[in-house]
Amino acid sequence: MSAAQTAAHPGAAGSVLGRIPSWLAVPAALGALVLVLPFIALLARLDWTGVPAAITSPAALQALTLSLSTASIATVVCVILGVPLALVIARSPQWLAAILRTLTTLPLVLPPLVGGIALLSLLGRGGIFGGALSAAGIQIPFTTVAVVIAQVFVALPFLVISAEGALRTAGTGHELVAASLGAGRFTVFRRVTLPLVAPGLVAGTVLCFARALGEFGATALFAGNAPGVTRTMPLAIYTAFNGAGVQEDTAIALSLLLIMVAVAVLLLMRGWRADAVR
Amino acid sequence: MSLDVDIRARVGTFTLEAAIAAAPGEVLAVLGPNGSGKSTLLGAIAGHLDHVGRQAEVSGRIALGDRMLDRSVPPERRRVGLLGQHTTLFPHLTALDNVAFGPRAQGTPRNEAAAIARRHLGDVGLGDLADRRPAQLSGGQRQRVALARALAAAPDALLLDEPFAALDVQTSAQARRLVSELRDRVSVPMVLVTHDPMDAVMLAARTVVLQEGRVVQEGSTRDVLGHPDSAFVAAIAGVNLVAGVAEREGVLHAAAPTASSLSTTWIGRGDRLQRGESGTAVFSPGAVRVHAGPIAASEGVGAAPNTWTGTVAHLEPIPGGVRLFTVEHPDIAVDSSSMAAVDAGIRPEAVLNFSVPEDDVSVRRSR
Repeated sequence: MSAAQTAAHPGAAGSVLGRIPSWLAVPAALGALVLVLPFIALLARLDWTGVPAAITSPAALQALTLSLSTASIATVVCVILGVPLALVIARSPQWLAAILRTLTTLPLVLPPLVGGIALLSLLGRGGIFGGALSAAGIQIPFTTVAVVIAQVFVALPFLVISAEGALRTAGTGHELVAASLGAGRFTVFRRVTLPLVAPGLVAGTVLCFARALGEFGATALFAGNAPGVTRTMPLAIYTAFNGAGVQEDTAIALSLLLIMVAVAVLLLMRGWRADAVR
Repeated sequence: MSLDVDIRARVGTFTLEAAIAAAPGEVLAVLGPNGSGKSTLLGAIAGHLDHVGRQAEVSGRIALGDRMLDRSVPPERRRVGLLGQHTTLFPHLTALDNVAFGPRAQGTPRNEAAAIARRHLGDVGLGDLADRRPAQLSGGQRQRVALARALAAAPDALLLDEPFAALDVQTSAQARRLVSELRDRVSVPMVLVTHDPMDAVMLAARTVVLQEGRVVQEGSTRDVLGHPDSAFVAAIAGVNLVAGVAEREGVLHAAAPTASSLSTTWIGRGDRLQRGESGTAVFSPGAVRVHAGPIAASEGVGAAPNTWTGTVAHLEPIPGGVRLFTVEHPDIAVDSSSMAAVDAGIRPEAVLNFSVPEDDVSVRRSR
């Protein structure tokens, strides 16, 4: 093995970064700072004495409970709808897959506010289905159901994109062999396809849950900000922040709570993936 | 139960028209270059030609015993086993569960399926590795598990798609031996697609050659490899193939392959060609004798059958000697022992005379 090849391996003689141009470390460090500094600043500004009271206040717990439950329901809905959608995209002819993929990605690149307006146009009082729904005595906007719908709308793309990528990487070789062994389509799906893409699917589900948990824009427009009904953590933080001046510390404390939940979810995923099938 | 296939399959712009048959306990080798339709043939038999948005049309008949495998029979009801180059073991299942997959999928109760799987794993000599995941097995072990898995599903026919190509020399020899034992033990027809003439020699009594979607040669493996009709098979069988037309009874005349070379004539055993009939002459590189040259054409070399003159273009080492190619006849390989090479003065740009004994040349009429 030549010296150049040896150096390419991290941990070997030379830099741990291997053969990356050394000046690239500067933008890399700046990038990391951009991501981390705001959180450090947030922690620095935190009034730690007020934290316990702020995050255990009935209003905060109510918001947290609502957030966790709506995000969980939204995630379940996303898995039920998203996995089949990902499967269809992954197994479609190229042109159809390209169209479906673009449509799926749309909510990902649009501001969630636009999503909220779109959902109102569909299900709101003056919306396309709104009239029929209110005639049937069903009102969706400004209810907890609206919160879940808004979360599904913004989080579904994360799940579909991850699952579809995993499905396409896995290919169809295993499925063909499974069929040749006598397994019908559903057996192949359940015993071969799903286990093969499980790691990608779990990653997608976690991202999906995290996105649903942080959802603000579409929820604010489509579901409103009613305590206990539609005021999720992000809305509670916004409300506290915009409240009568003194509430800013509460907003920061609630942010800390949301960050902790998100970090816990990400760590949980890492733990799961560590002993996942590779 | 025998496999009898006579189909026309179209995938995109490619058309395959082929008829093959394999008896129970017989291995039929299918040789052919890339793109010759080998995979299309197997896909049509296995029933997955039109998966993943690919448009495919299959007409004709595929009979497995008294069952007709037409379009209405999905892959899972064909009872056609697959063994590919990539083992595609299910990575999330143990070796035992991989082998038990077929019986389980076909509705066998769990304990019974496990017992079947254990027996098949034992048959391939892996009884003690039942609890290993595929990632914990070597390439050869994985291929054996894949074989056990295919057999545990009790297929009526087995399709082997270059099953030894990804294995190293020693492992592939073991795997071949396993398949040959299997052939004698399990009485199902097997179709073996391969690039390697060794597979055909060791496993298949009969061989079919596919080229551009057509069967260009079929017969006993001995005949097909002994006297190939195509440059492709000649190359993989390691023999020289010269095509031409009989200039008089029994003498094949081959046109000069390059501007700088002379035409050649060939006599040998085999078919006695009539004047005007086209045919091929086949001989092994090792049968060629090398003489120090040059001898002028007027002295008869080049004009006499089975002789030619050439300038050494390049040399390759072979066990025990060298293989050389000439500028004038670039398609003819000549093997020489090291001793003979020294005696004849073989080196680049040397001009040498070559001859092949009549008994070592096989002449055949073209179809």
